[in-house]
Amino acid sequence: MMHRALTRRGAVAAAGTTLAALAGCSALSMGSEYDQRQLREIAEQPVPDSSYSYPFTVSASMIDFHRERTVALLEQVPESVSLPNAATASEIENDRAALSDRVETASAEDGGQDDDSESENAENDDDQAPPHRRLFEWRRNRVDAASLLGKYRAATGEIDRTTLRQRRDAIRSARSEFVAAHEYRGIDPERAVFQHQFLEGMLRNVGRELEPYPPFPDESTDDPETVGYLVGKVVRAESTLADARRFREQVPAEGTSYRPAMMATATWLRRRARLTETELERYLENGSGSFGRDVTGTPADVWFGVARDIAREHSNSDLIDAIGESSYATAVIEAGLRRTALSTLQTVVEEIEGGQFDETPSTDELRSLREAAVEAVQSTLDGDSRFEDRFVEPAIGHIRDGSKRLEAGTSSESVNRAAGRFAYAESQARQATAVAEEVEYLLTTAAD
Amino acid sequence: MPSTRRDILGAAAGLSSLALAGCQSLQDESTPTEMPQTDPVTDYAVATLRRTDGTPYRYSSDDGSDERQPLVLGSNDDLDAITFESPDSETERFASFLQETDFQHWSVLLYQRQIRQCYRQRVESVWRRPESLSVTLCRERLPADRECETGTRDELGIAIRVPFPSDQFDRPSTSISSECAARLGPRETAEGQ
Repeated sequence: MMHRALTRRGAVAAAGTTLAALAGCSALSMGSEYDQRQLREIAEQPVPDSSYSYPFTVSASMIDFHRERTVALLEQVPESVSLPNAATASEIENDRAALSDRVETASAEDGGQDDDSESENAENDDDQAPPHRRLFEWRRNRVDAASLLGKYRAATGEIDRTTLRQRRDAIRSARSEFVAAHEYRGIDPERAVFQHQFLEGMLRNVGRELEPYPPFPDESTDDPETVGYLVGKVVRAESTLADARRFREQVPAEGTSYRPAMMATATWLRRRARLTETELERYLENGSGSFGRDVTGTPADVWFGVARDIAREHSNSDLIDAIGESSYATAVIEAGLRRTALSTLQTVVEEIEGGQFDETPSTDELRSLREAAVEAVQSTLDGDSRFEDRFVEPAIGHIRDGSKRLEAGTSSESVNRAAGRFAYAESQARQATAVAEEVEYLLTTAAD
Repeated sequence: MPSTRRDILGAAAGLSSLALAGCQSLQDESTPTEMPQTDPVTDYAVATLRRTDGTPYRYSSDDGSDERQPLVLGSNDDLDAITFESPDSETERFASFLQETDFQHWSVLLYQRQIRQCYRQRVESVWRRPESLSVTLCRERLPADRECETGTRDELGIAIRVPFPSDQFDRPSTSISSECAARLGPRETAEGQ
């Protein structure tokens, strides 16, 4: 049976009903001041940690490669630079000294990490950044060293636009070959989505870095800074593509390609979300004026406003763009986020039309709202699906945001702004679980 | 001996007072709540004169005021107050630029600024507001193969010829940007050093 996102009834039943309990709650008169200490205490309660998991193993050899290239590039820039323009010479010397210090510090922090079995799952020293962070940092160091060398060569007239264009063209060809050979294989459909979404993101970055902008100056000596930046872009494209190749080696070479399953899932979710969007059209178009009563200045107004904003943020056209760019895995995630956002809006609208949440909550009710939101988010994170972790991320953001509003003031407006966000987080977390199940189901059945 | 305007420009006219636009403020006529309408001015022309060993020009009524504020030259008579110290080809080119101005339809904004030797100043934009002009100057590094020293400053004269008689605008406002945004856009070679 096809899974559905939770309806209002499902949401209320599962929620344990903090909101139902709030119906007709004793209201504080609008404009009342709250006790700042109590609000602060509510605001400072813990926020659930998002559960991010890097989708690939980063080997020590990948990090070493960028480090070695960084050092080799840096060694080609002299410590003492002689140029007619003393300001340019001095700037290159200063840049080199600063980068050299950074490289030495980073190398010292990496000391003794030559074990090639290092992975994201391995235990690290407490002070050591995780391998994917270090890979990112060393790639950045390599790009900075390349930019500096490019700047130096531009200042000494040793680089021209043709060299750079040829290098860019070669990487563009290599990227095309990579894409042509890309199969959406994976150990299972869920892992396939997250790994290939990551690779798609890397390929997008490579494409962006290959855009020939800004223009190369008439003479390299006219603007060494821009030439250095252009060289850095090319090297960023090159090193990102190299890392993507290494990551793809971790994807099974044989077995099912999940490309059709991903396409089917994204399309199904897109159509379901489109239907929901049509049903909610007047609320999306006209805002809170569409309700059967005036909700201005109530927590319901904020609750709806947040839900509407997020639903509009995940637009149908963005999703169509992702599908059109053949970013199948990205399309699945985007479609899931959009489906979650619209289903959440649907439950929020139904609740408000049912008369919920018209009055400003008391301090105790506010505390309960936040606790219910945290509990719902935590329960979603405790599930074993990465889709749940991904789709619930906006809810975590709104608990954090709502808490900040409480620190901003003690007026009923501040409390309403916080309450609306906590209520949204709870509704959203429950929908995230339902949509994650739906995505898993669709991927599995479409792949069979 | 310093050259006078007559030496440099040739033609002499009776000395007259330099009529600085901006003497008459039209500010009272504008409505304070209205957002001023601004339009980019694109058909301006620029000449510069750089001096490593002195001032590019002298202005007889110079009161040592803020170098952000330009002189506004609105007539041939206004040119009489300008004198040049070094009669070389660069100075002649700059002086000719001033002299060739048709003050019936144009006026000239004249800046005198100090600039580090390894940099140059460009005119980034000119905007017209009701009764006023707004100028943005920007700074960029000289090419790497141009000989220059750090810690040394040159004197720079910048003349901007704008397509309005000086009685059509109040005193211009000037802002200085430490970087030229146009650096990353289409490249121009219109401006001098």
